[in-house]
Amino acid sequence: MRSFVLVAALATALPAAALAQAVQLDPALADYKQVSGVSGSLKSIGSDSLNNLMTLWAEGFRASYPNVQIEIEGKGSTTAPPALVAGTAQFGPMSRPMKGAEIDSFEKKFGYKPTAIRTAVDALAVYVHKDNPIKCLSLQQVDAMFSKTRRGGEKADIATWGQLGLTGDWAARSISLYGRNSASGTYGYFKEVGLFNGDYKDSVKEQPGSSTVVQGVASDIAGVGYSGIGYKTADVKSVPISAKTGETCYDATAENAYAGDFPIARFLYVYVNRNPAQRLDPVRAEFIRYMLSKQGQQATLKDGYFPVAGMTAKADLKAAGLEK
Amino acid sequence: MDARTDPEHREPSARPSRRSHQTRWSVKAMDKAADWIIKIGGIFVILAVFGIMAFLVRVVVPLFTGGHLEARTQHNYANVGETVLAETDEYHTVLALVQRDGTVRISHLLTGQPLKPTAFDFEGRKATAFARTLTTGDFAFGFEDGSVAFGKLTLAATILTAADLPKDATTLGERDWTDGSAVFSRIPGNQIRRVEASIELQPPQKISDRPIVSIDYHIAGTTERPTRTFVTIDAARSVRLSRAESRINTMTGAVRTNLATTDLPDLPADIELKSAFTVDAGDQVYLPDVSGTIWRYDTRDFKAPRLAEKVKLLPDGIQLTAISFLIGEQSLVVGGSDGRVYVYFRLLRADAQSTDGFTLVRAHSLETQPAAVIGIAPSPRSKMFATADISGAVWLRHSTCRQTLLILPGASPAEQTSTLLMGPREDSIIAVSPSGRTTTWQVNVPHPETTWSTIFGRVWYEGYDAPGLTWQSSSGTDQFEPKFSLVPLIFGTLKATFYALLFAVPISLAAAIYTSEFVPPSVRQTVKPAMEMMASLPSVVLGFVAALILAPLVETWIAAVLMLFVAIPLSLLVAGYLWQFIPGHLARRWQGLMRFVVIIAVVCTGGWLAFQLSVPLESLLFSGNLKAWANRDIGSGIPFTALVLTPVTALGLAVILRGSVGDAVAQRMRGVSPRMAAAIDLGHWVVHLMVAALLALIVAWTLAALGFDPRGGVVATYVQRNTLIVGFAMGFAVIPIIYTISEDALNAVPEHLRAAALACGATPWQTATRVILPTALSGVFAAVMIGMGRAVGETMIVVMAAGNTPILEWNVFNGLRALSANIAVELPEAVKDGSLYRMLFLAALTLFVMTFIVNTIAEVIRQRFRKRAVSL
Repeated sequence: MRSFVLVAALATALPAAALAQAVQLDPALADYKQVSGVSGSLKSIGSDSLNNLMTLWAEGFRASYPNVQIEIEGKGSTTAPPALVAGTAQFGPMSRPMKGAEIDSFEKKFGYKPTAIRTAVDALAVYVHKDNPIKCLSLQQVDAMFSKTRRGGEKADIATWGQLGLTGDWAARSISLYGRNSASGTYGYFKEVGLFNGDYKDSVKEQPGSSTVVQGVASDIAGVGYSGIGYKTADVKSVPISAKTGETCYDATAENAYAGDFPIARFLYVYVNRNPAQRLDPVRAEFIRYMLSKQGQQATLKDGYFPVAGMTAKADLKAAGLEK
Repeated sequence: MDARTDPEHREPSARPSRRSHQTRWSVKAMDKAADWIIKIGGIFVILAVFGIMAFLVRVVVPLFTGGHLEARTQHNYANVGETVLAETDEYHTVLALVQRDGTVRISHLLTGQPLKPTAFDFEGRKATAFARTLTTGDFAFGFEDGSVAFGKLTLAATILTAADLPKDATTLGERDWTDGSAVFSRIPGNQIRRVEASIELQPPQKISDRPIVSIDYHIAGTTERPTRTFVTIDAARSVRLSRAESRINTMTGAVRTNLATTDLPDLPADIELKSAFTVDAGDQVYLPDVSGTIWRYDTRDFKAPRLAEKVKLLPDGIQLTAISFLIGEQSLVVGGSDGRVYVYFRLLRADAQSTDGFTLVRAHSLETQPAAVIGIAPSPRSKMFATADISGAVWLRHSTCRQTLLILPGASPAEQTSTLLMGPREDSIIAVSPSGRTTTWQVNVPHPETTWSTIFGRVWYEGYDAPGLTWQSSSGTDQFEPKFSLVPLIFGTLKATFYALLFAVPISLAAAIYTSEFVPPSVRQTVKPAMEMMASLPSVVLGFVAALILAPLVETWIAAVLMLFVAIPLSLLVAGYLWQFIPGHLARRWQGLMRFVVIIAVVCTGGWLAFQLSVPLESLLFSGNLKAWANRDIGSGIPFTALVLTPVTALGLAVILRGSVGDAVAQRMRGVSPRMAAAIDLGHWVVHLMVAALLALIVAWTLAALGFDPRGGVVATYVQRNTLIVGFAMGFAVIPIIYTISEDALNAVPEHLRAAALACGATPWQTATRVILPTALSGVFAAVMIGMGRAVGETMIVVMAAGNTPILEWNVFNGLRALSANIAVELPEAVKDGSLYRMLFLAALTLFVMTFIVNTIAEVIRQRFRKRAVSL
């Protein structure tokens, strides 16, 4: 179903398809080699943006190790730190880095800090209805649409599509905002970068998951919402974004996300409780190796996100004590 | 909550046996046992309820207890030069003091034991200006020769096993050891944490020919797109702002850096600048002078920086003695020479005298300290900050809730503070005096942001135009300030309850009256259990049906749905009048099942008509587009006001004209054929309704002329997940409860009252409304209250269907966030014993109290009703 939707998305948006094909795995990524003696169970609690991807990884991993049981729960990145602290999960996927207070509560219990593994690159896209003619938005305009504090510096609130230069029927349509609930890392990251750490308007409709945001925008002609690029469907389009009003707008493509030109690109993390003085147990170690391998990153690509570079994977394997 | 036990349906008490008047011992024993079990069980239930209450209170109390000082330590360092910057780590182990000459004095924080010092190598330059970033431990130095250099002091922690502790380490206090340079601490899990200071300094860059007198340095942005901003003032008072924006290519590792520099326009010659500040974004520069005036420059465009405004921060005659931003650079804290502390926000104001539309607004005046405030240490985590006065006392304050959390006893003998620092976890405050004396206060302020007034009152959060009531609990960064106002949530609960009852009460009461008074008992016996079956639908099912099926349907057919509320009652009334045309013998024969079928058919016809007529009626009432109309984009409010007022004017007319016109009509109906009488009655009703509508239209015109518009209040901008949907779905949950309890109450009215009323010639309708309903009123009221209790506590329907927007509007077309839904949504993200966690418990406690009050009132009224029913 998911891949069907993706195929449909690629078929309708030709330029995007051309770019999407251009995304290739970094040849420096290691090939995953199966080892023996891996069994046990894993539980992952955290990000909804990474939910599908975790499922894909779990499937791929279980193909090699049928004895491993994997459970995945994705209610939002903010649920990951409490779960890691309480020990109810071995992996905490998060779509934003942990904040100080969360690291503190972890450290209070274990004495060391959690280890972050960068598993995918995401262009956090701003979606509008597929019929919406909008061509480009600056971060300041995004801020004025979503935020009541407008720290980006835009003077006036933007409440209708007409204020963004759309004409005809669109001019009078009032913008209908879709967002995530506050447990979401996407909510936090969008607030940090898209809203310049300002506050959301109270009228942003909080949706429990990334796909519901996209569904909401797809069914609402005046809608606009944000979600990971992996959730894009044929019924919505992602708007090119510029970092400042008047600058070039960049599409949410892999190339722009890697280069940092797309201003709300980010890493998607998986946090793990690793005692730096000890070796990771084989199940978790192999799962991390799998995520950062060619096979694992192929899954990332399949889910619509962009794979990490070989050097990133290498650095994080080193941080997890899995490579010298 | 399950209060559908019927007192009226108790088993009749066992009749005494005729053969034996002696109760058997086993019966007595069973009776005794049951008595005790019930008593003990009851006591346990009460204890459990109180236990839950006590638990909630226990979790909530720390929100309001403020903070306390855990320890104060003081150390003197000999031969210490002037300390210009200080840094400490998260674990209270190492303190690093940077001296003017670049030497870094390192010591063990809690014992004062000196460790191996290190030094920034200034290559013989004399440093004249110093800056420190708030959260990253980065430093900037300005030199006499006009160059600047950036450095970093890292207090790195590594985790080792207990075996890795060096053999020759000497002990430091109870927890720590040192090998001379690093500190080792025992931590849980038989591990050792090693903390060691390391420094790095980048080569200096020349930016001016004159000495640098002030510098401010910021590092911001995300890991992949960092930005560095610094502003300097040189001896000739020229101000220069520089900004480096980097983009790191995550695929290749290549870094592209975009450098920009701008010189601010010249300042007036006669001012004595205190320092220069910029912000993370580099779009503002603040230049305060000692008299308390601040020059704010708008540097959004580096090509053309300009003076935005000049503001007097302090009253005349008071010198500016300390100034600092809080984390996030939205709140500017200023301290005066008389000890006053103000917090300013930069806000957009229509009447701003500045060139960029923003102006500095004094948002908070905090408690005045007894002596001049000379140091401000902002917290790297929250809006907490410490202020040191000239007498050596340090106050710990919170900007948003304006409270003084702790007054920390100064050192004795009193000595001035030259450097004030708050620890990275805001659990320690360190003051360094010019003579090298260091005082460390270890504090514990777990919930500085919550007070009764921030939870239930209006709070002026930074960046907000005015004080307000906001719920926005968490986010992904430390800069974010949680906003905990329970008012929008309590409001949301009340709003959902109100609209749900508005929908449910008329339907369920009408249904109860109908089944208890108008249908044969056989029909009642099937209808009542069927209605009670409705209550067995899980609310989560109701919720998602409402959110995923009902909400889009209603959105598409909104005009038709609103028309239903008009069309169905109207068609029932028309059908009622038409029914009178049926000859009496037929009407009596058909009053059972046949009439029921007719009613159903009429309701269906009403619905069908509403959908058929929705388009013309939408153009008549809402100018053709309800959503645009509700948004005030098109049309006027007059037709809608008239429609809403019509029932009111109709009732008013009926009351006023009952004596004159009513009697005249009744007179005309006397003595004519039944068919003629029915025709007169129908004609009278139609004319009455038309007059009422006309009257309503006139009233609506007048109101509109007086400036009244129904839009903006109860009807305003339409969103898909709205209170109307919640009302429908919640109505489904509440209707069976209200129906079944009030039906029981009506049915319990003794039969002799009913018989007497009918025998006196009252119609069944008159009997029901004037005899039965008033008698059973307290029972009916109790039913409504129990329904209300259910609606207040209802969670899943609201979570799924309400959009969860914490807004304070009665608008039926937008969403709400109820207390119960908020608890369900946010509990998984709440860290145990954190502020949000305790706030959610407070929300639970509030909900508990609300349902407790509602149910108690219901129960008290029910008791009264029982007594009254018994007395009849």
